[in-house]
Amino acid sequence: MRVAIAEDGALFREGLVLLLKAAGHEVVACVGDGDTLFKVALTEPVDVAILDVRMPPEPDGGLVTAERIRASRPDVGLLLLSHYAETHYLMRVLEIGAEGIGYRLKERVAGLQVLTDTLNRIVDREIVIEPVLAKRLVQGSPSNEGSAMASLTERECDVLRLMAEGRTNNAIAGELFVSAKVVEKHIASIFVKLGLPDDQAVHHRRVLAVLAYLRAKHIDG
Amino acid sequence: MVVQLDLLAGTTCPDPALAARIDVARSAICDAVEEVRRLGRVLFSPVLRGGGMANAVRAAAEHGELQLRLDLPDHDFDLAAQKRIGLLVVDRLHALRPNTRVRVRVRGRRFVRVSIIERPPGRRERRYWAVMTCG
Repeated sequence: MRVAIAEDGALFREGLVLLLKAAGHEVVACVGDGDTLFKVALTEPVDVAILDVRMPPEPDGGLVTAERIRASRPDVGLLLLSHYAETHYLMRVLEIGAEGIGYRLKERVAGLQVLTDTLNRIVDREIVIEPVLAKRLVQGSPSNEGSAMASLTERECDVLRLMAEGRTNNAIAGELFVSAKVVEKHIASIFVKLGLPDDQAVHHRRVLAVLAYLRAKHIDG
Repeated sequence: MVVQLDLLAGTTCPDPALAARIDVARSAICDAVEEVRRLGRVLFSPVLRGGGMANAVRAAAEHGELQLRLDLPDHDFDLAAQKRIGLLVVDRLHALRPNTRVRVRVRGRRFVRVSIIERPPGRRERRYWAVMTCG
């Protein structure tokens, strides 16, 4: 896999290069700001661009650069890294793209296995969301009492959390030790309970719809 | 450090027991980072700088598991005003218990009036007001 990195922290940047090389990937560029990465993405063959959310151009250069890359090179996968798992950043990431994109905490991808899994999923055009954020969105909402969320069963909450992480039906089935058919049934039930249209043609839009719904319920409900 | 430890554990360490100890050390570092992150979030909301006041307030409510109703004026504040108002409100939200219902109302332009009404679970409603000059 050909990877380009933009990260203004030299120490983490170099560590990431070591990690990527150890995983057998080719690092085609390693720069400290978004503008330089954008130029690289236009001229070099890049499979995935890894960007720090907060880097030059300030304040959120990673998000701005990711937006520019997605507009010019939609085939390039995007992995946004941050020190903070924030819903605000997640929504910005999902506005940039609903496939081949990820948002993860820096220290979580600083592991060979997690980094490789994350990159592979992005290349497969999945959405990868930091699990801790997906979990926070789906669970632990006091405002959910009496809402549509409260009507979900425990298992449906599990499925919704994994959906919010961008997992495919098969991946969810594997995680929960059930068949893909059972997962499909749960998802259909979730869509009905949350009042969301079940449109299989727009697979990744389900994540967007669910997250947007959950965000609205959490913050303003 | 996490990267270095992972490389040590994954690529050069043949001893499973040592690899497991490295894994524990890595996990401890992640926990320490999380604690520093929590403190940092209390001192200055990471969302405030790039996301603005409203998003910073919403983020604080989300982290504190609060039920927030945010009532802002139709006009936008400049960045300096957003920071001042945001810090004031976020600071108050950090002091609240989870599940507290809180309503934040902001009005005015130069003289900004901030009203915070909070109702912790099982307790009486409390009200706070602040007036600040912005611009």
